[in-house]
Amino acid sequence: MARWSLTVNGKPYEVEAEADMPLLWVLRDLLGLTGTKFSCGIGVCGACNVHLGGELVPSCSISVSAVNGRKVVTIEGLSKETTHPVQQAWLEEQVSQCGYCQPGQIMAAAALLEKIPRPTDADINRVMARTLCRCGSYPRIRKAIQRAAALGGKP
Amino acid sequence: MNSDHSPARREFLVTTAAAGTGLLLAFSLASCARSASSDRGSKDFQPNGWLRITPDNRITVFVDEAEMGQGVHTALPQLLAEELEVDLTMIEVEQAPVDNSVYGWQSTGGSTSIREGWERFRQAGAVAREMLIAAAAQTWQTPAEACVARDGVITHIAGERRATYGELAAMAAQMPVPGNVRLKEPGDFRLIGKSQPRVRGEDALNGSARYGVDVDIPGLLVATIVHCPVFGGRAREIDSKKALAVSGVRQVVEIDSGVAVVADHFWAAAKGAGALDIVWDFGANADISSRTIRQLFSRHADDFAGMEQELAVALAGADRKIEAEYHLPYQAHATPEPMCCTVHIHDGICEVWSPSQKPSEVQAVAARFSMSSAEYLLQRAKNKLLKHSFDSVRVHNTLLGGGFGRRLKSDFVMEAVQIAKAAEAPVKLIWSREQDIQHGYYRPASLHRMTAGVDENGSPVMWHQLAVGASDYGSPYYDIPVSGGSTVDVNTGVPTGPWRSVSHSWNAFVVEGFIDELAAHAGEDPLAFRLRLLKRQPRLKAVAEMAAEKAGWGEALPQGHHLGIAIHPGFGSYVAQVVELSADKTDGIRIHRIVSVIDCGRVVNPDTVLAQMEGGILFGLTATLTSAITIRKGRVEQSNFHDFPILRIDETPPIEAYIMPGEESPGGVGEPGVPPIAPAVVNALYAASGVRIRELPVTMDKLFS
Ligand code: FES
Ligand code: FES
Repeated sequence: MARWSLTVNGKPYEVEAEADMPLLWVLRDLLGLTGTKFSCGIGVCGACNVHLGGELVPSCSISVSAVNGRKVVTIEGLSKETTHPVQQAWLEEQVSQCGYCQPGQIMAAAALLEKIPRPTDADINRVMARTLCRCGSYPRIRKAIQRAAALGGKP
Repeated sequence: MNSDHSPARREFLVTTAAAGTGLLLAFSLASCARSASSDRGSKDFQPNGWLRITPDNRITVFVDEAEMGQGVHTALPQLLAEELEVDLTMIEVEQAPVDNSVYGWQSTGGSTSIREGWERFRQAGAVAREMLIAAAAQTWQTPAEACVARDGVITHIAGERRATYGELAAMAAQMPVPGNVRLKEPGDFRLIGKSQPRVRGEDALNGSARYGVDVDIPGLLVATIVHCPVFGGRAREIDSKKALAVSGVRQVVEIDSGVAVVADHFWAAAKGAGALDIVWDFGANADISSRTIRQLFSRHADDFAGMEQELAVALAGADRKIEAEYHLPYQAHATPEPMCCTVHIHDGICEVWSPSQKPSEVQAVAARFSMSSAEYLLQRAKNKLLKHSFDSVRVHNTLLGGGFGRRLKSDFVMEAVQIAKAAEAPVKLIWSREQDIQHGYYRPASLHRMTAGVDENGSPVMWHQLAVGASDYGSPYYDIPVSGGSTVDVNTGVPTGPWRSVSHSWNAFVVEGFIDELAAHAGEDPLAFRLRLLKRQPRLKAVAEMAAEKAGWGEALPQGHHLGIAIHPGFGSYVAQVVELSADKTDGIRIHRIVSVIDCGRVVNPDTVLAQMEGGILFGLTATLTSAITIRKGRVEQSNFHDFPILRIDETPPIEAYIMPGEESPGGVGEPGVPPIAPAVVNALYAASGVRIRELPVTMDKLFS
């Protein structure tokens, strides 16, 4: 086991873990940040989406050794009081059903708007297609992204 | 009038809140009382809902139904708030603790929550309101008629006095429970029928919502499990050397259903599970496959000779006989949150945290597996006698990351209890996605042989559905002089269970597919054909007409676009859906639009109804277009979302969902969106291509073979 240091939501952490432990489980089981969800474990559902150095990544598919010294933002760190425009738009459109996929959806949408402040439907399809919702909240996700874009997209 | 025997009197019970201050009102939902195992408090009284008002003016509603995305933690309190005269924002909602003796049997399924809560939650709000008014009237020495409840405050109509509910709560608790309460006329509703945002809606958006997988308690270990890949098999030899060598792994435990690895965290457990060397005894099912199951179904269908005399006579007298055979595959629930459960056995108590649709069964299962058989039997006998539930089990129901019927089963609870017992430590069991896809309780595969006799105008004079492998056949709601069905139960070795909309998921597909075939045989427009056979079904007819109108049925469509319709009654609601699509060899199947209309009677929270319809349609569309569970060598061939794909946002067509205003008592909304979408799609594909698809999921080769 080795020691790793990483910054999560602006806070520095030191963890002891095997090099191949995925960031997802470092966050959930070592740091107690359970907002990031586990669903597929193989990088195909997006439930575990986080921002790594500003990029959207499925945290189940990146190991702790690859995030050593880097900055991670999770759903808990997106805003202090659920005030990020994406979160606000999500609330206004009442997107969430069971809610389990929503942290991943929101992290994906926030990353999209960071890069493309005025996304087209095609942009939304391209970026959001990798984050699944079994409850079928997609029509509202699309509307909420457009609403968030109108709100300015970024915090 | 003898108020002691009025319904309200018997079904409400007042207790002062724990410290003797405030009002605690217990009430019961009739349906739950039916199956409740015991009573406590007054005779025959089995409350399963609670309303608490404390002096600090906090109003809490305890809801025994599980929240899994269907919005029940918003809609039920909304009913109560309407009569209590408070805003939904003034109410805190909590999951009721599980105690069969207090809350009755708790189970959430069958789209029943609002249907059963409609009267009782409103009555509970009204009873509390009247008692608060009585308390104010007594304090102010004024007739109750002079007091008005509004926004959490009782005011004297003369205007000089006011008191908050909190201030009156302790005194209200001393007031007699009113024998009869008047409920508002629908015209006076301020909340019911108006969209209300989700209660605690932010929790899901900032990571603070706690699901089963998120449970954390001191000293918690994490386990994962490996089941025999073949249904019903068992481990013969387990070599756990390599698994135990994985850093963080504590223990390997064999339990009834498989082999579990207990570790410091999930990643170590999962790695350990991957390192297990197990020799399996595959048991009796090693040779079954989707192909052999289908052959078995066909043999049973061939052997069937049980059509009722009346049907056979009508068929013999018909102008023409039309037959068709339909097939549906197994389906997995694929809840986004995998199966999980946390168990801590301490101080003679078994504490369980589980995301469950049936917490009462969780309690029973935990009792059964946390004690020795002798202890359990003794306890059970005692409980029966004393009308108690298992005091030694404490169940905390967490939020559910999807249910869809999968969490009506408690297999994962049994496992977690057995593992925690062996580990002698608190354990959180989390299944991998692979285990979840391969060890579910699937929507059964089935074969349906449809037979209709039609007259010279093409109108059906008889109808029969032979359902093989399915527990249930569809009742045709069309005007057909004689109709019926038969089921043949077949034990295939594949575990099955309820899947969102249960038997409606296969029956809508075959009934609405076959009626479309009859319309084609008659050379009639599929909508017109249906409408003329719906004379006795005004609500179904109305939704069909509205959906057709919204979809532009009969009007000019863009080049290459075609429409298909399906309707379906179920769970007390009536739904019609129209699909607009195009299909050709180069571009494949493209759905351009889905129009949906539901008549679910009186609507409590319209936005929730629309969300459930959108979600139901997309859940059904996944099973129509992209995914199926198939069996080979006794195992499920799929293992994760790459080969059991869930519909994605870029594959999601625009959905227009409408609610038909209704006055009838509320129908269910969690499931009715699912059944019509598959037949609406295949009916539209027939319109587009002339090819009749009778097997799900729809694939390009079925369409263009
Ligand atoms: S859990 Fe990481 S992508 Fe699915
Ligand atoms: S809201 Fe349930 S999976 Fe997306």
